[in-house]
Amino acid sequence: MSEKTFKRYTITSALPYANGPLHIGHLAGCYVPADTYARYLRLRGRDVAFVCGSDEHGVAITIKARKEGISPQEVVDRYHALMQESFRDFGISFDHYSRTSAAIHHETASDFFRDLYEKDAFIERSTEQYFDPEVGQFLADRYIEGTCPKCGYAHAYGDQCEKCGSSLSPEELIEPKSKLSGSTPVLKETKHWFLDLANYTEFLKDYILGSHAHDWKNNVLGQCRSWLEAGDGLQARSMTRDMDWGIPVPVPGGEGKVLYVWFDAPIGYISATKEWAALSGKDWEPYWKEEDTKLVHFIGKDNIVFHCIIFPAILKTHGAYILPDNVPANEFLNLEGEKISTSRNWAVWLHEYLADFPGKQDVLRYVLTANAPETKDNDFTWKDFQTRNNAELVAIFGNFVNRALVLTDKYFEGRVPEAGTFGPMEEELLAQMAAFPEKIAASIERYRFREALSYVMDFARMGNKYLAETEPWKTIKTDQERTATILHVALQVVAGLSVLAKPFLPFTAARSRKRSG
Amino acid sequence: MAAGSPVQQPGLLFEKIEDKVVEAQVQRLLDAKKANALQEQPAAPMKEITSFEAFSQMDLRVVTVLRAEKMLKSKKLLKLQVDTGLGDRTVLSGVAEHFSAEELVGRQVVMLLNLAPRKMMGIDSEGMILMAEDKDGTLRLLQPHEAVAPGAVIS
Repeated sequence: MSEKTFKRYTITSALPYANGPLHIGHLAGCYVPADTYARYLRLRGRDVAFVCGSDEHGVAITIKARKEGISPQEVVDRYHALMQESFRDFGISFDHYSRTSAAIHHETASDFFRDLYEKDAFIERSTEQYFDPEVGQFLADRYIEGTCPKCGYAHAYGDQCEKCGSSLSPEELIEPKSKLSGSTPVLKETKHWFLDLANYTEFLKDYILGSHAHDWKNNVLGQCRSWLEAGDGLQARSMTRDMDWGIPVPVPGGEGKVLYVWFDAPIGYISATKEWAALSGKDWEPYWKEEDTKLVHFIGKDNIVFHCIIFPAILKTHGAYILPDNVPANEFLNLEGEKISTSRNWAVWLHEYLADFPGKQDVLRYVLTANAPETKDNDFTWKDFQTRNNAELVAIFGNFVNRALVLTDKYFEGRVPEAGTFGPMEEELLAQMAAFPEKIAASIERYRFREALSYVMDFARMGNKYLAETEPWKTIKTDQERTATILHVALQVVAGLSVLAKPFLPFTAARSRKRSG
Repeated sequence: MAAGSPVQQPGLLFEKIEDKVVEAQVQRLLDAKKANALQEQPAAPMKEITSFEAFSQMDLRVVTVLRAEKMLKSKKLLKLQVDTGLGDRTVLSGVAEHFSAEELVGRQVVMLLNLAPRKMMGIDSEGMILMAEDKDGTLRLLQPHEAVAPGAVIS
């Protein structure tokens, strides 16, 4: 862990792409862990800006719009509203949720591009790209389909084959076809602005493999290492596209071109912070420019290269910004043994979950944390969901709290009884209890949320065991004072548990508060 | 928690989730998988090339269903009375699992008129009603998009 002390925290969750509803894989990947982290920090009185927003640019949105016969704006409006509602429903406590079609974001991203352009960070390069002669348009990645040269799948995209997972470039496809018209595309020259990542190799090696070798997660370091130490090194990446949906390229010769979605999306975190600050009367700059700010990006593993390689290169070139202190990326969550897939409807959709399990947001949050894909891909199964609910939340957590309250209600008119003399059991329990907050905090600060939650459950188990061994329902018949002591101590455990569980189970905590009114 | 302060009202924080609830969720996924499999299944391959002469020998007509009744001893067969424009005919059709007798009465359907009669369950079936079979095996009627005189030739 770093020795540094931080004055404020800027926490981001990956911008969800506005072309479909959210499912449990999204929640487990970067929204529940980030929210738990933000809630924990706020509970400790830290200064937190937790921001996110809808990612509304890119090719997939224009393809969806074309398929449904509506405008791209209509597509993003629909899913922005739906996603925002799901986040609210599941208690993801963003300080601000923005969108990349917002004017402030267009302005922020354009300024960034112009700044880098003026610093000569881009290489202007003309390349040949596929062009649909019938429609008169260049075909970005997913607008081209053809046979995969690796596995022979007939519907591989210009950037990837979904069958065998190979990443491709459009020229590799056999018999390429335009998805716009079905015609055979032709190669045509076009100019783009490339960020030459090779120039950043030493900086990135130093930043990641040097400074963060011990506080970043192994899965993240492993992926970065494979990029940084690859035989042919980092490649120049085009930061612009031939399209009309997105942020126009703001430099001479940029007509008809937009910024690459992965150039503008991470800048969306900055735009969202600006918007939040304007709405709440704060200054956004310290959250992005002061060295005593801790910047943490929560993402899924498919976004590691963009957050650990490309975004830091952009920030570094700009010069006025701090770099991410950590990027605790999760691996993937599978569903019943198979990869979650939106197009194949192999998913548990959040809005459907809530319709089927009203009021049970915390159960899902609990299961997704207890079984989080923190170090490797994990599997969500409904059987495991049921078992964790019945055997852990109901039988341990709920049972303990309920027993302590019911007995207090029955024997002491619902008031915390005065404790008598503590025996060895009480001394031991209270001593153990005292160690938990720090233990849980240390796990959370190292982004080990599964571990932290398992300690919370250990705490509840201790309370359960204490009641089972002291049997206040028996002592009440012979020893009122002893019973008072037992319930006094049990209620201290309940109080401690409700604080420790708060970042993980916010709805349960809120319900308890309401009841105690 | 200080002695003497009131505690919260007891109440269940979490409820047990029953088997049938999670089984329904698993079933939803299995249904999605089935729908995907059907979606991906290619259409039946093309039959061998035929000649125009062979096709011309098929006498395809639009006919109107006058009466329909379920065959007592059969799960699959409906007995239809149809107006062929050349007189009424009796046709046995294996569609009872897809349509009720009432659903068919009054409808115009496609029929192969000159198929050799065949005796089924003691009744002569004089022709065959043509239907489209979907990927999941359900049958759909073929109807002219507007009514035609019974016996209209299909070519």
